[in-house]
Amino acid sequence: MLDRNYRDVATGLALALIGGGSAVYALTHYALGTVKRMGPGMMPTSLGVILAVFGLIIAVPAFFESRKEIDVRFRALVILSASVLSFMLLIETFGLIPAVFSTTMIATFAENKVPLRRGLILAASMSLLTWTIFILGLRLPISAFDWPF
Amino acid sequence: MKKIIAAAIGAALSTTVAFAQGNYPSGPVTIIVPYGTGGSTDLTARAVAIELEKIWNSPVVVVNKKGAGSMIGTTEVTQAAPDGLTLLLNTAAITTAPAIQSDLKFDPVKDITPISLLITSPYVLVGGANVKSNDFSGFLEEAQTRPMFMGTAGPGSSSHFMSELVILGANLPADVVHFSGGGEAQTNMMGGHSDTYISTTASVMPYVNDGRVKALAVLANKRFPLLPDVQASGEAGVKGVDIEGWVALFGPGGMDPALADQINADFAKAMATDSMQKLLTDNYALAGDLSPAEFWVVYERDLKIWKDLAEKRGIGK
Amino acid sequence: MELLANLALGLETAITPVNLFYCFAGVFLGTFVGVIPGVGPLAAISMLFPITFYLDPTAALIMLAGIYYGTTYGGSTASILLNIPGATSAAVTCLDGYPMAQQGRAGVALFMTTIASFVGGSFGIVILSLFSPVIAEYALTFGPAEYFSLMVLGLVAASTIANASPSRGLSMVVLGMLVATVGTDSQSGVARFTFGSMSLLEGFGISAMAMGLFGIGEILSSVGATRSAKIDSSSAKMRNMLPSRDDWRRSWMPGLRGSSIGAFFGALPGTGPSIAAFMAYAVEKRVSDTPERFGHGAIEGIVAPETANNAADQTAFIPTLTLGIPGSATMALMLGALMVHGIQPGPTLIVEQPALFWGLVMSFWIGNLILLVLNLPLIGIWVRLLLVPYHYLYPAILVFVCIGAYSVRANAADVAMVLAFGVLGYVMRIAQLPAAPLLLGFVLGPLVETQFRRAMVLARGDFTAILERPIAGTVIAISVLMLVWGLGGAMLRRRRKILDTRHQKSVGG
Repeated sequence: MLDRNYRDVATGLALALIGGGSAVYALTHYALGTVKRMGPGMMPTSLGVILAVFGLIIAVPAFFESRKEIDVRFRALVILSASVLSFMLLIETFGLIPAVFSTTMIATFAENKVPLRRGLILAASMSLLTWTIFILGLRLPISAFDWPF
Repeated sequence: MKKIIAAAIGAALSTTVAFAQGNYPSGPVTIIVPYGTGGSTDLTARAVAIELEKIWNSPVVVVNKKGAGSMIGTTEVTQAAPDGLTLLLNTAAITTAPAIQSDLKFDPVKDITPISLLITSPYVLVGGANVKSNDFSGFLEEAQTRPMFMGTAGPGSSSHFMSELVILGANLPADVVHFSGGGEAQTNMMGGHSDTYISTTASVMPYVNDGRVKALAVLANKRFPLLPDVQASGEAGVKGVDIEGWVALFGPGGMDPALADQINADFAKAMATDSMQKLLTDNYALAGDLSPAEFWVVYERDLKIWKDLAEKRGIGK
Repeated sequence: MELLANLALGLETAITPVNLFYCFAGVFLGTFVGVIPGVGPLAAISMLFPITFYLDPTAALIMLAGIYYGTTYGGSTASILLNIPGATSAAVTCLDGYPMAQQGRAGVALFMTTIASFVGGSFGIVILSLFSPVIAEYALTFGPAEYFSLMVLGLVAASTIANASPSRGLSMVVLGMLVATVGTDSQSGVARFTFGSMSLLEGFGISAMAMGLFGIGEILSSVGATRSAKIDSSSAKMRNMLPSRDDWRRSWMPGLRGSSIGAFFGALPGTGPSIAAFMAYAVEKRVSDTPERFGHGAIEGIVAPETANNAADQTAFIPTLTLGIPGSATMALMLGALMVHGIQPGPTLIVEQPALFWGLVMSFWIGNLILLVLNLPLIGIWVRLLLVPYHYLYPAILVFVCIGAYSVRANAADVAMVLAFGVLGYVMRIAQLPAAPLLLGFVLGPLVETQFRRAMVLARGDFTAILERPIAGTVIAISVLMLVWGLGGAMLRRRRKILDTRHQKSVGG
């Protein structure tokens, strides 16, 4: 392996890809219009091209720089995403309290610092707290418990 | 999922059990307003809801579902059961939006039942700081020598379609400029950045009365009784622009005609109350008096007019 | 002396027990809603709007307005403590507020933002009561060309907000603008990048973006990482919450500049507190002798945006009340509250409804005083929040962000959207791409595009016609100068750095 700044190479290329992709998509799907009356494609196309250029400006010099350490923690990413997604799935079917309970509970697993029993206590108190604030206090139109069937 | 099941059950019931008079409403009625809280359609809905609660002795809930030129709320109503418990209050946008939005998830003829024309008022052409003439005949001449900028509340809005209709009807060399909403269109006109704006009496008359903008024409063949001093477009010889603006009540498609008739009658009662009559006078508007069947004709006619105009003028391309 | 009589009339209206009660209820609810991430003023006011049918218009407006400016007071709390903007206009306050909290100066930051909010709010009220009609007239002279030029200036300023190389900063501005094109195009009605999705027609929500990029992004990068114990209990002592003499000295001018910038952008329909806060921050960083301190807990970096967004909150009432034209969705609700009672705001409002107008103005001032008294004692409690171990805190924050995201439109898909922006924020941290310019590009992008395309129609396709307009031309010239100066400076620094390293190498070798 060559000693290169892969982080910036990847960053720059990703930006170039997003920019280029958007520009091509906009160009093929939306009208550019005239100078007087610009069409819906003008802005996304030009922004895409500019972004692609910036991407290359970031990527190219990085080929000649030395490697930088990066630290990605997939465990936290996966567990916290699951926690948020559980909220999304439960809020409209089972209601606020089950959603809050599961979000809190799953989130505590992202680190090993919260023992299960304390996690349960935390989840229960969060459920009570959010119920008090949002349903009792602010009267948001969300039901505390719901049943989908 | 629950909604779909409820809709399916509702649809099954409505086809098998004919509407029995006197039962309506059998529960709380939801009026969906496809615009934000506090706008003019929302205020109308909330005021009429207060009167309806008295007539029906049953709760009436106003729900705002804004977005996509009123099409998000409208789509939601088309998916409800046609039991009269879910209604839609919309403006003429319900006829203009389908002309330019190609990816609608409903059929504007089959999936909607026009019930009642609540409020009607003519469209008024108003001019801003840069317009010198004071009436429509003068404006038409001025517009031939100096091409005008006709401000709209956005592409596909009724102000846009009406402006295109005037350009076509009077053969003007004008340009359309799209603003984000009627408020911005009117400030830009007051500041002299654009020249005209077309909307219903309710939205333009406050500024006309302030003296900041002038009413050039009522877009109709004859003068409007509540604005006798404003020239009618027909007087200046411009034809085919005599469309009325309105706020109307709709239900999901396939509603029992007898039910639609009863809702129409109940709303007419609500519109006849003092508070609603005051709202009408404040807005220089009239209560509509069409039956559901008569309104249906107007609704379909307007849908077609806008669709044809969109094709002719290349709107939404 | 007429002004004094008017103010007296206003005070008389504002201090009736009923109006005082609604003022207190409004600002109390506002602060509270502001602290909770995601639940913004628009949601809170929409929920309470129906009661205006049953209230006297003055009382109704006093309460709704209280919620509105109260939110901005509370909005900075979560920004400083947790790096999550409680309200969109408080997103900039994260940049220096959160580093201050990490240095154990959360109390100072909260204290200064409360004072700054009060100063900004008061400044806005003075402008509102003295110059309303004049400003409203002046705002009318701003057309598409003028707005476009101002937004360009904003974009140029944006590129300097973050402590990153110009190419990284600018690329994020552009990405933000590109993301903002998703949704219905304002000039043609064409749906862009929506891929048939109905909910994307409205574009991405700004609060989903701010909460995701800053809030979830922060949690994702903190959880599982080794954290230094940053806060000890001594920082919750009263003595350590008071700003030092040096803090006061540094805050004086930024506060004044921030208030002026805020008052200006607040009065322009279509801009508002968020843009005002960004601009105030960018200006402070520009004029500072030590721009490198920004982003690492500079007190100017919280004072300027907080005075700006509160001043903007107050002056936003100018176009609403004197022209009857709301500059934002929240202001449209205020207008609605008047129209329910058959009051049509316009140039004659001040003359025809003096008790309402001046009563409202005086209630703003009372409301700001209440907020000051309400918020200062709360600081001690907020700071103690940081003593809670992070592994108990982050699940709670996550829950609040989820509920906040959901409550905006009662749409579960919005929660996934916040998560997506959170993952983007995390990836950007790893790639060392700054989030603030992305957010600013997102806010300014649609304005730049819309106003430019409008201006080009009005100029009949001739760009030089835009440059010939006095205000627009001047502002564009300033923007170009700033860009050249900024890029030139960056190039100069880079060359110097290369020279330095060469020099060191030659010395070392």
